[in-house]
Amino acid sequence: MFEIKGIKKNYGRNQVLNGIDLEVNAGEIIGILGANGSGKSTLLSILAGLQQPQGGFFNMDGKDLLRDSKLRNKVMAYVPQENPLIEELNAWDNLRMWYSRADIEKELKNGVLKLLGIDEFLKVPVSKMSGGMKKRLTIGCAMNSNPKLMLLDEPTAALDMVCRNEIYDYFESYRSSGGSMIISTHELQEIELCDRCFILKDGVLHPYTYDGDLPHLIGRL
Amino acid sequence: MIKFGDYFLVQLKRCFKLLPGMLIMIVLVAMVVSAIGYAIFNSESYKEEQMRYKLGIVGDTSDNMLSMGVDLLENNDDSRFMLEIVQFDVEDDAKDALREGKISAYVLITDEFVNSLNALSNDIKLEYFATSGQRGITGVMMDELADIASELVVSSEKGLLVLEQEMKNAGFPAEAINPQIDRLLLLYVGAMLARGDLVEFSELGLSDGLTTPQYYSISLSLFFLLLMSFCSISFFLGKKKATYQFISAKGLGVSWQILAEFLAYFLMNLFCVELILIIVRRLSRLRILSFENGEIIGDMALIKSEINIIAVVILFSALGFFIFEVVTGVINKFLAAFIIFIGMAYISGYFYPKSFFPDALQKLGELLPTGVAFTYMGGLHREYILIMVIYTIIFISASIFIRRRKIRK
Repeated sequence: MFEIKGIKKNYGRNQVLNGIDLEVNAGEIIGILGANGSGKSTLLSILAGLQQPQGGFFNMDGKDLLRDSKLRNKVMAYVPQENPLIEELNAWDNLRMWYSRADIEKELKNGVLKLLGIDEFLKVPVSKMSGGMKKRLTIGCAMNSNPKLMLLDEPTAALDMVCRNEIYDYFESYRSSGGSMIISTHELQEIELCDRCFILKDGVLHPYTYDGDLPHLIGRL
Repeated sequence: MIKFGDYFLVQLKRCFKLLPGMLIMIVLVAMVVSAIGYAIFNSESYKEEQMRYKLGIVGDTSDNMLSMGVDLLENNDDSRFMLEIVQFDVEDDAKDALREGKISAYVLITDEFVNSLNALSNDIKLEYFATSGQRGITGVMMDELADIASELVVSSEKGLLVLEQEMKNAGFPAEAINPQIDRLLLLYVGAMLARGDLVEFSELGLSDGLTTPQYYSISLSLFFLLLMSFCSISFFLGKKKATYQFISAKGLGVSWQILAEFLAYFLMNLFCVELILIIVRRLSRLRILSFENGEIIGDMALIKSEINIIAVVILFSALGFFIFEVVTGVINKFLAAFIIFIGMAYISGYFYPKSFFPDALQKLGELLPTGVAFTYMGGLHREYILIMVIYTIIFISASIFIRRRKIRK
């Protein structure tokens, strides 16, 4: 189980996160909603180790993930909102940075890369890929260490319906294998996918259950 | 976990993909720099530098002493290697020649001067005419000539004649006087011809011990190296903050990212430099390329060593890397690099000799990375490698600092 307690972050006088508390169980998908600039990306980047918080901790089964970077890199995957792939290279060359040759072949036969359908566009340069292909490849790269928790920053933003459904299918598959996810999102489809949702407002997480009332949701953001 | 080696290999693959485009740009830049070099070494002003100064003489030089002096200057004196004397009958012709640049200056020998000379007097001076701004070597030459005429010739001749008169007054016979006077005259002529002053002015020198071809060969080669890091700007265009974050989140820290990228970038630049050196050498050997005024790049002793040039390639790669890391946006990167490179090259004397600038600017130019590289290549001062290493460390460290800030934003 992952435990987030009292995470604080401020930029100068601007208090972005003011004590974030959250527990994530195995196989659970957590959705974080919030207006632009509310601190969703900041929270995910702190959990991914890209930024240091001013207070609080983040543990997995009692082990401090904020300090133990080796363990954090192994048990967590972070997928940024923008495409992080190297444009000049094809899918295979991008994967080679994350996997050994043997591991790629193994995962393409019967593993995460097969599930994501990456074998269909292995030789395509990233610059010629669709948004859905790029996102699947990004997730494929991030999954190299078989992580227990995925941090996803607006994973299906700007993707069409077909691509979204492919991604959601993979999320379901990942969840069923015991993986957990924290998703920062604006998408209703993703909200429906989540087991629990929170609205990040004034630096604090507020529990929220979506009941199909969109105006109510907009009013709360 | 991502390993340093894996990330470095990916960067090398990127370089390999980008290489054809970079080589095309480098060839274009090489053509531009070669054209500049060709223009410098074949320009009229450079050729004029190579020619002897032409000095016009206007007036009657039929006087024995004057004709002897002119004859000595033209044929026997050390100045004959620098000075060509052109005789004019009328001053207007000399003026026209001066205006058209056919001569550098002219001397007006008036009847008064000849009379004064014959009267063993030193009260009439030679008149020297030049266009404004020509007080350089021509002025030095004219001072020298005026000294010969008014001091050496007049005073010495006066001394000899006074001695002759005194000997006559003392009752010495002509047979005794003449051999002594002739011997003294020969000694005087010998002493005058043995003057060595003038040759000290023959080497104006653009920089410490470098001739003009050497100076411009080095400066243009360095300018080309500087622009080469500009040619590989595409290496920086595909990079994104998301990539840095993605990789950092999997354990490859910013320092290792920068080192891997810099190493790949440097190796790509080095490959291009060595490739060009090989091509220039080969063309030079096949005599397809030849350099009339000193062998540029290919066979210059200082540039010749591929090993020596590595230090400069490292420094310029680090400078380029830093600029492209700090500045965001394609157009901004181009503009910033262009302005900084041209500015630094100019202050460090790549386009004009450093000696043309005020002292403070010269000092600043020498302190800049471009100036340090020039001093190193100009005389291969090994101690300058340390300064280049310090600069490289500063640029890389600053790039790491900037990248960290980018990731956290």
